[in-house]
Amino acid sequence: MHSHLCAPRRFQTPPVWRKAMVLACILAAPCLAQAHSETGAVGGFISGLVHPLNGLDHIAAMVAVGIWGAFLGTPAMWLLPVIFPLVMALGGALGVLGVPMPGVEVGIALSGIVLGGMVLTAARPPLWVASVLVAIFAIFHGYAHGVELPHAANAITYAVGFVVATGLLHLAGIAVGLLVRWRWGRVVVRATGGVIAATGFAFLFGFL
Amino acid sequence: MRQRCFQTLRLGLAALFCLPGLSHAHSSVAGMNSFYGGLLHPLLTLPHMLVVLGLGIGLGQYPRLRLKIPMLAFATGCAAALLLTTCIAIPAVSQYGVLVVAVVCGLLVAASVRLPLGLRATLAAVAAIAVALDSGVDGAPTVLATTLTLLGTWVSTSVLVANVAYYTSLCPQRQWVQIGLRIAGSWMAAVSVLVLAFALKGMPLA
Repeated sequence: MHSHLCAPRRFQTPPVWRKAMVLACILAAPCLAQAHSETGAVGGFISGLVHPLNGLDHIAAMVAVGIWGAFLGTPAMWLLPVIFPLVMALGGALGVLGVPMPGVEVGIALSGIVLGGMVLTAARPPLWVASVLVAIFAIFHGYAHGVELPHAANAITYAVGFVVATGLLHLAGIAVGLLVRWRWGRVVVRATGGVIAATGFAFLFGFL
Repeated sequence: MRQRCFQTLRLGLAALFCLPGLSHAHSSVAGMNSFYGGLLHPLLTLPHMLVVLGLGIGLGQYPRLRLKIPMLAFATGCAAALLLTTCIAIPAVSQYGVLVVAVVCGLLVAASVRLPLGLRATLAAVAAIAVALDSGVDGAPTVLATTLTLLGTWVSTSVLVANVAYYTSLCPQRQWVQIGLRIAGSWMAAVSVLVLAFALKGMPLA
């Protein structure tokens, strides 16, 4: 006996329609809209957290600050990562407020070259020189972040995520820098400084 | 055969419609009344939390915890400013005051500045006034609701500052802990500076 003979007439819809109905039902299943990721408190935090991680130039400089701090030892190890976010926030404020600043991209590229170079050459300048150098470069990084602030983001949680990400990059740098206590570690640290300086050169001359 | 196929299809469709989604019918704090609203207010307002954390850590950073006078100044200043919000309309610029105080508290923690007791009490009073002036009740609720909300805010801010200060004082005096506190202070100051810039730019802070 053929099954279609048993089926009620109202069920005898063409296969194409049945498939279309199932597809329509699946498409109609409600889900949360994921199109806008930068709204709301959590979106703002994630947006701020990810923002410094999106640029290799920023990552290189912030990691270099941590490495150099650890390389110089205490108190530079904690002083530089304290100074950088503070001054970077000032630069960010200038960027948000639209205060013009020339040569930001050059400054960012130079930060990689100089900070990476300091690590590569194992330079040990006085603490105040290191602090001023880091503060100057932090202004450029903060300014660039402030200008690029996504306007849909929750401002407060964006700022929190942004500062936390910067601090975590410093901590990553400090972890690398602490390898200097071993002989092979000194080679690794100085080589990392060389890579960071090379990255800075690549940004300066437009290779990256 | 075909009937079974359709039954399966219908069951599948029914299951599809039963897919659980997030229910948005209820607010995050169901049944919250005025007192609890006031109690949660500083916790849900990040600039206020920055002040509370910065001031609390600053007061607790001293080896010998002396909270009586600063906390008295904080509670008195907070109560007076909260009462003031019921009498006069506080301008919107009060949020700048909160952020400036947050920057100052963060910087003091980052620099590990040891203020004398009188200055600590003054700072606590100023911080309390800044937070309280920014915690006024919006709209025109009943007198009871306004009183309960402000009472909740007063209790919450005072208890939070005292708690943060107390637990900070319990932190061991080891160098890495003190460095951690100073880094936390610098992060708080940095966040406050950025949020202050957002506020000055006219961007919504919520």
